[in-house]
Amino acid sequence: MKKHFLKIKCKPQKKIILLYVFLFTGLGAQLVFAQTNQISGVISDFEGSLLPGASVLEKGTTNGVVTDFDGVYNIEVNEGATLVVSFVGYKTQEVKVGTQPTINISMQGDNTLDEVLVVGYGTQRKSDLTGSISSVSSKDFENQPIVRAEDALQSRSAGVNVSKNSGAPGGDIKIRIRGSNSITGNNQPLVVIDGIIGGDLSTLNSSDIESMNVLKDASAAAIYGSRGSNGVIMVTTKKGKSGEPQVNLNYFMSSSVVPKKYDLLNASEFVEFAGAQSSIINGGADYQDEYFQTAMTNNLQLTASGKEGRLSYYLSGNLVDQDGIIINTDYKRYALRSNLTVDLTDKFQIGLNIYGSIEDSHNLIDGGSQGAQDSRGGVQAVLGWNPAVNYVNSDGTYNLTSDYGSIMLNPIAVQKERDGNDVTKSFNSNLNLSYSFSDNLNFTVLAGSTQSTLTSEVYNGIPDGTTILSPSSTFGSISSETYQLSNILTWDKDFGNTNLKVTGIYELQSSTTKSAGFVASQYIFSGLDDAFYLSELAESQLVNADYETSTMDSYVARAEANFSKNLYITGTMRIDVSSIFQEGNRTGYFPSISAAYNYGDLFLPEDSFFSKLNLRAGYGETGNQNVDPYSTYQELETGNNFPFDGSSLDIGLGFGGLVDENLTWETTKQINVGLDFSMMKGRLNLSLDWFNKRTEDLLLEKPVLASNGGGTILTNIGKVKNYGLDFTLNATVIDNTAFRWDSDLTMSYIKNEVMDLGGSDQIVTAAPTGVAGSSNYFLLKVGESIGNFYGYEYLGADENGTAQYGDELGIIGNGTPDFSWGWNNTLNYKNWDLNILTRGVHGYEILNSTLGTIRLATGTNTVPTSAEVLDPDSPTSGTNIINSTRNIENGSFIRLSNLSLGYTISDIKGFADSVKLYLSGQNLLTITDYKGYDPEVSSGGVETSDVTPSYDSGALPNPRTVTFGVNIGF
Amino acid sequence: MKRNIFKINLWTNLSIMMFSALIIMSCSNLEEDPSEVQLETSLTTDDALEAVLTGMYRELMEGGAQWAQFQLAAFGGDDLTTHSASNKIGYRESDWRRQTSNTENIEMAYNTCYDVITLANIAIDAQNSIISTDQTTVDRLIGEAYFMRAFAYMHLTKTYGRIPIQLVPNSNDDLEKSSFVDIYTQIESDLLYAEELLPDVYPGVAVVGARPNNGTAKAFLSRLYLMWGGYPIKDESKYALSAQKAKEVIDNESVYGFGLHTDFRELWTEANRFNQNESVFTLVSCTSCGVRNRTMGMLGMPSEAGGWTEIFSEIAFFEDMQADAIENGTENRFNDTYVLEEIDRAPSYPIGSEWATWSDPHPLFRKVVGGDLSEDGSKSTISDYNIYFMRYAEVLLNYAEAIGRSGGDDPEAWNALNRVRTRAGASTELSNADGTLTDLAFLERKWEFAGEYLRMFDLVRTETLSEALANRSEVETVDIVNNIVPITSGGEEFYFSPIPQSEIDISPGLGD
Repeated sequence: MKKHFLKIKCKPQKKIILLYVFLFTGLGAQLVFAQTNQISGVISDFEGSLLPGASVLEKGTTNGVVTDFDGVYNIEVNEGATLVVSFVGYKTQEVKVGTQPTINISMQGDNTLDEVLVVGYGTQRKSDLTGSISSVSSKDFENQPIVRAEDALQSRSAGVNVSKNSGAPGGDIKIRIRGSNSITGNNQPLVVIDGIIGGDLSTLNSSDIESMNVLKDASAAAIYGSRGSNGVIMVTTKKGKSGEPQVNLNYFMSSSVVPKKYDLLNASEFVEFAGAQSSIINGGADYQDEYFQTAMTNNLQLTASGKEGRLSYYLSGNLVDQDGIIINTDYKRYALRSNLTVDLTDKFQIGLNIYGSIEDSHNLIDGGSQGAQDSRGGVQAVLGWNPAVNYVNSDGTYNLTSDYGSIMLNPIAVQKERDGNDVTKSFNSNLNLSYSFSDNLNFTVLAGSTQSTLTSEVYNGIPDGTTILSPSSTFGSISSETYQLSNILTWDKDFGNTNLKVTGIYELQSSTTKSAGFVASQYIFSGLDDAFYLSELAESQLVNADYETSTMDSYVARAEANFSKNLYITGTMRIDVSSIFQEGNRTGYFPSISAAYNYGDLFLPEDSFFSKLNLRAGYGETGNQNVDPYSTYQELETGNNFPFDGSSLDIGLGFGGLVDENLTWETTKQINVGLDFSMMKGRLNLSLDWFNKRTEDLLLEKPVLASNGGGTILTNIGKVKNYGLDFTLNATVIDNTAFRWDSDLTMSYIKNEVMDLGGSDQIVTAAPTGVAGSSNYFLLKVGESIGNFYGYEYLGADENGTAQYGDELGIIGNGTPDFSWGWNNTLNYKNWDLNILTRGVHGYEILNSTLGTIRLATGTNTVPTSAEVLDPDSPTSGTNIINSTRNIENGSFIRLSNLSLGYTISDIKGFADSVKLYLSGQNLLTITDYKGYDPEVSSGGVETSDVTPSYDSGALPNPRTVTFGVNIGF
Repeated sequence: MKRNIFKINLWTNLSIMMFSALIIMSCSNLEEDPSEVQLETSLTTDDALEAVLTGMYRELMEGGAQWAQFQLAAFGGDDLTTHSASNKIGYRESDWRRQTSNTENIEMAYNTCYDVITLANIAIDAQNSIISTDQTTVDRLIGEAYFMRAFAYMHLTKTYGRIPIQLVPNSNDDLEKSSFVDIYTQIESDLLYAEELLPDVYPGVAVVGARPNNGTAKAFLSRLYLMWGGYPIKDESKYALSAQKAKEVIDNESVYGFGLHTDFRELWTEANRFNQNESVFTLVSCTSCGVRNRTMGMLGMPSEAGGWTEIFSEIAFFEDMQADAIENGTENRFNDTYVLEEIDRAPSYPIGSEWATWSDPHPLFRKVVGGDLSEDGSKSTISDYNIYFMRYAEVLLNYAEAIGRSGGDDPEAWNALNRVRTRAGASTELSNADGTLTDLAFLERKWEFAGEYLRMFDLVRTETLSEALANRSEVETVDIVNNIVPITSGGEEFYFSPIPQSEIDISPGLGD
């Protein structure tokens, strides 16, 4: 009875969000508008050079504009307002508006980097930061043609490691902020888009991004409490700015190819190697050439933004049409955004951001993480397939099987006969209501919802596998909705030299996911071309449905104090109450404290070498609650049906695995100490952060003995430590009227250590995909880093060509990189600009199972296909142990990630204000010893693959891409 | 003035807003209600119990029995072998008794049997909490759960020797390996419960033996006692019990519906899978339902016939059986056991009797490639053939052998032996003039169950494995290149497969 009562009470939550909308729109109708002034002027530097892109803000509001190409701004401000003019590399100025309509401002080149950063539930000036936060703004990546928001983060932020695990378009991208905390929990950072928690970067149109701020240390991330332990990426989308309406059209076209090929036996070599019985059919085939294609991408982006009176708007539309590098694959994304802000009064502001997108991916399996449904298929089968047998006969029929090489069905035929379409439709809206009671007190309500539906329709004409099966169809629909309501009260007051800011937040969130689907096979007719929509004709029809819901209530408080602009102290506390855990384990407390001391004004003389010197220190606790709802309840699984009558299934149940009823948060405690230097009048800025994290009560999938039901039990045991250094250097190497060279270097060093596994000394873990159950390729061991490969030493081939191995199983390598860096250079000369982004990842090994499988006969490959077998030192017989040192390779690489050259023509009369043409290349050059396609890819999933990293088992390589683009500003 | 109104309204509205926020604060439902989406493990209805029983068969089939690797240990016998190279390493290591805890697929039978046991423990644990008006159904299902648990432990112990015994659900205890006596006693106890609770005829099955009846439980008891009398426990008093249980089945064969099917070859056809009464316990398949037999058809074919070259007959075994068949007039059975005719399959359309000329020279078991080579299942690696765990012929031969081993010379025992021989094509009957009942029954088993994954365990319990493996044909492929030869003698590790490494990794004590 009680439960029922509660449920009824809770239903109206969505309606209450709507109620807010009505309440506030009701208010809006009665507003009185204040008097305003139109101000314009030119912003230039102290040498007289015009500054395009400088920001002009009305103090105390969000009303602001950016100067155009000629340094000109136009802004409508309230009477008596103060203009705040800022530009990166220059001192921020404040000018009181009098009666004059024109205010020209000359900026002083002494930079204190007083940028405003979006932190959780508010903003902070960069100079006031006490925690460790990296910022990437649209300016940083505008010279790189990108489709994905993650590309913009890559190598631009120290301590943030972005690896593209798969070269498929729309594929999942792995992001780690300061390493891996969790062994089996999710290690992807939390994404917060315009204040809404739990965003998805992959659906985002990267051109809509104004800035991305990464909360790296716990003192910054603790404001997100139980979800902050992997760090937080705060995304802010663009808003309209004052002045002439701006219309921009961006278009680029790319061509991508697979970066290299494996050296394989050709048809005649293979026939000779395999023995006399194998013969060449239809000329044989180069399976790599048949499988990979040159992939074209078209990206079109149109934006209009501006500010008219009290309404500022940013509207954008985006179309991405991207082929995959595998035949018969492609990805399309259509997106529309409308960001509107209305200043109803000088105290009351309403913002409404709406973003809708449709992603349509064709034949990309599991988000592109692999090329085939069977992990032994796809790339792995392409490399292992008998090159003497063409995939097709001269009469057009397929050759599906071969006794030699891969035992999988022909991967080209499988790929050509698949029609899989995953369509994701998402609709995000968020309403931001902000009312300032006085200069000191503000109340903001943020109400947001995310609705997303994935529909997957797959028809497999030739289902992947080792046996020819009749066609099958699968359908799956997953719809999820999340709601968030944040009430934020901020009190901000100056007491002479001291400033105190207190924020209190009460937040409610709920999310619900529903899914349903079917699998249809055994069509009563054969010869149907694509029978997905004839699934009723299948004799075997299986259905499934699922539902899960969770809620969380949070209470947050933050106090920020600033003493004489020298000492800054921030303290936060978040209390999360989550439905995922049972009573008694449900409430988590996540405190943090941090401080910064700025030596700048106090000790440093005006002409000092250092223009700024900042010391920061902080401690915080964050959590990870990445656990599915109902995980603490024992269950029986469905789907274990059996046909006792030999013709139809009786419903059967299975064991759902052991659960831990006392499951609770995984907690990460982190200390951060940072130093910021600013030198040579702000031309050289350097930040150094040291951190030490300890993650306790790990959410660990502990293996369960088969005799106790097998599988794993999710429980809180163990400790992991991560410590390291983040280093960021920004330099303006050359800066004169004609030529400017900016150079940014980021480096991060990280060390990981498993401290405790809850009693056991080690846990052996199976490879993530496609290997038989006992093939435990990875080892977690106390005192070692996570991601160790577990296997045998390879001793070479004996005189008979037999592979020899050592007897002992042991650690044979580690797949977790410990050092990465990125070096971004932007050079501007007159109308030309050049961007060079180089990056490197070092200190890790890769288990190259892809090559391992084709260099000696194995379970899935009866005859090896790698050209290595012709090498006299290469073994030709004996057991092919994949997890041996033979297949462990150094993964370190240095990569030319982006090279772009652009030319801007400004002011083409009667056509456009500016036209920029550019030519760009991605992944043009990779320096590595790795023998596989790409050292960056891995076959594990992106969220939880930290225990099994750098495992290349038919992973799809990142392509080499050449792009031509044009940006037109009207 | 207007401004004032605005302010008043604002405060009113804000108050409402704050108030509504408070309402929500008191309202978030943080209590999960998993009953909407998942089933509890404590069973209360006979329908749920029935579904758990059904699930056991799926676990047995899906995780293991659909693959020949479920019977990996049986390749250690002198009847079965595999391709000498290629990707058959797991089978080969068993064939040559060179298994390690890391042998490919060594975990398959282990995990599968415990999956069945886990569900059986849930069912047995629930027997007193089931609310039903139909006690007959509940008894039948609980009896079946006991049978399935016994079956799984029996497969475990004959494969891996000593293993841990888990009898309760939802436990994560780190159990040690039990002694053989404890394991056998536990299996006996479960089978006795099953015998007590199972009906004579299991209702609603496609063919007798698709689910266990009372006779099935007795038949497995007879097998258990026969094993108990031999290695490793060697409690010879159990032979009499084996004979007694077998006798109870034989005396009531018409009650249980068991008999010998006239046409031996037809047992391994899809057409006659339900048209026979010989299955004491069998798994039925349904390829169109996704529940398939993947141990037969092309798996046993040579590459000359486009097959997977996975399961072959050993050469010496073939030759000995041929000689014995000629001597005893059981050529019918010999011809039904081996494929000797032309095989209508690309690429080479080989002739079965010319196996010696093939790239991997081994005779073909018809029980593997299919009784009728023209059937769909024979041309595929997935099929609808029955997977026999016990045929009625075994009950007859258990009886004969157990009588012999317990010192008897009963005419009924000779009759049981002769029934099997007669069906095999023999025109004369054996008697004690031809030899001892024990030897003749044991020899008969060798031919009758050739390639049926039984021989290995007969060799183990009689400790004749070394002897049998010594009788390897000279033309049998051996990996001389790698200097790896079959092992032909040893202790417990020679008779049983090691516990899988994945288990030892969790509980190192299991590796001792």
